[in-house]
Amino acid sequence: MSDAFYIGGVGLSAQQLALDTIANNITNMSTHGFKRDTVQFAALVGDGRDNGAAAATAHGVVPSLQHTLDRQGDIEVTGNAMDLAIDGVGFIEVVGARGQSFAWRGGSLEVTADGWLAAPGGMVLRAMINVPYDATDLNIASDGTVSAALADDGEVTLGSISLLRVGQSDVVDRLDGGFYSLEDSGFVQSSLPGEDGLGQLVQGSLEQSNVDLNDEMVSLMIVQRAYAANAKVVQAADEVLSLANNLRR
Amino acid sequence: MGDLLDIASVALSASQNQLQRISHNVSNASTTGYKRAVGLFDSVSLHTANLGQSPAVGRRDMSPAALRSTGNPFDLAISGEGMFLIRGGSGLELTRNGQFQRRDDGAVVGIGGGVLQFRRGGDVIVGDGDFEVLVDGMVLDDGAPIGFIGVGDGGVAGEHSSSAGVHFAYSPAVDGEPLSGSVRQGFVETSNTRLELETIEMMAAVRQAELASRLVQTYDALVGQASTAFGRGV
Repeated sequence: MSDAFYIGGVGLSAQQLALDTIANNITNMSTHGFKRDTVQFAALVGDGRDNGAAAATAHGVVPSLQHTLDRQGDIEVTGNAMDLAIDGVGFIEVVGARGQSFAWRGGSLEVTADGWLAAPGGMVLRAMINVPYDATDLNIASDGTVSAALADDGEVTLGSISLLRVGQSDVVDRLDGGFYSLEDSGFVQSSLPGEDGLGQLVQGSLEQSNVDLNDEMVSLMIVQRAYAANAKVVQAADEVLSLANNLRR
Repeated sequence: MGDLLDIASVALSASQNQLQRISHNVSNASTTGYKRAVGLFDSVSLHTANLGQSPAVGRRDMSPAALRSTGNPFDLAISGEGMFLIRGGSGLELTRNGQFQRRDDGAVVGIGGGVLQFRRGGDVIVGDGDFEVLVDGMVLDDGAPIGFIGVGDGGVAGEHSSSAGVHFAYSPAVDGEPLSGSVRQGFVETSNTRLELETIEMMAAVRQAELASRLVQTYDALVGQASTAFGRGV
């Protein structure tokens, strides 16, 4: 069977993945803290030298998905004291129901029934900040220090939130709600906001997604054309086979 | 003399089997939880002719498909690894199809009447109050937890056999194992049929059949010439 046939098929699948990725990015355009995915294409080469071929043979393309964790989204001021955004590099560590660590890019904080400061869904912050019952105001400084104003006009420091350095090269799984699983990423460095090149916390703001609609639209057009070109390759290979089959009338 | 004709007919049958498998995949392009059949391209020769190979036998592509939101509380989907355990007419089965409904006696049944089972066995029976399933598979009947659903695939995904691509044979290796994926309420998993791949495989099968039929025609012409030439000599 013609190689061009199957290579065209591999190309179609790769462009399909790119299309799905663009669709997911556009769907999450308004999701706070969302980091868009990009698809990287790499040539797939089969080494035919073992079978006596002169050189490695082309076998199509391998697509790989990458999260753009290092790209900052715009900071939008909401004025809500429970909204937290990160300006710069870094993720907040939260703890799941079974004690596993997740990285979170900030968003709307909540206080659980036991008084713990948590991300949506009851994911308590690793910093273990317990907010007193009679606290009226919560204050989060840009260096991570959390303090609360009490009803009797006192102020108490509750703790500090540190940031994890999770970058492009780390292997993370994206989960629901903007959490990233750190299961397979090995040792992750943790520091205070503002140190070691990490970003700062901005209270009262939310980080918008880093999806640029113009980029996505251009990518969409390119993917469409690439898909059509691959389909043309498959059609051409099919016609060639038809010619071969009909050599003898 | 018959060898050439038989080999050509075996080639035609192989193409026909591929087309059968492809049409099975395409007709299930909208079936919830369907896993497409992958062709097994073993060498086809007269001596190992697998003429009897039906699309029922063969490997299933267990890759996950996209989830579709329906909003129905009895529609469940598994995102990631794991399967639902159900009790069908012929025993325990595994499936990714999460379209359930509540029967009059309270049992949660899927399409085909299979009863949803807890992770450690036993029918899932709920009242007519709120039915809620949490992400880790915990079932809440009107707010009260009654057990976990969804089992891990025991590391043997892809080796489960299936006749129709929706229900898979149960294996004791999955007994009681929690799933590492998450259960989503209000979603169903669509079919993982890849129409572009099916089209390409169909085109390849058609070209193969075309060439095989050319062989038969050529052979027929040869035999015709031979018998005419020899006949003239008499």
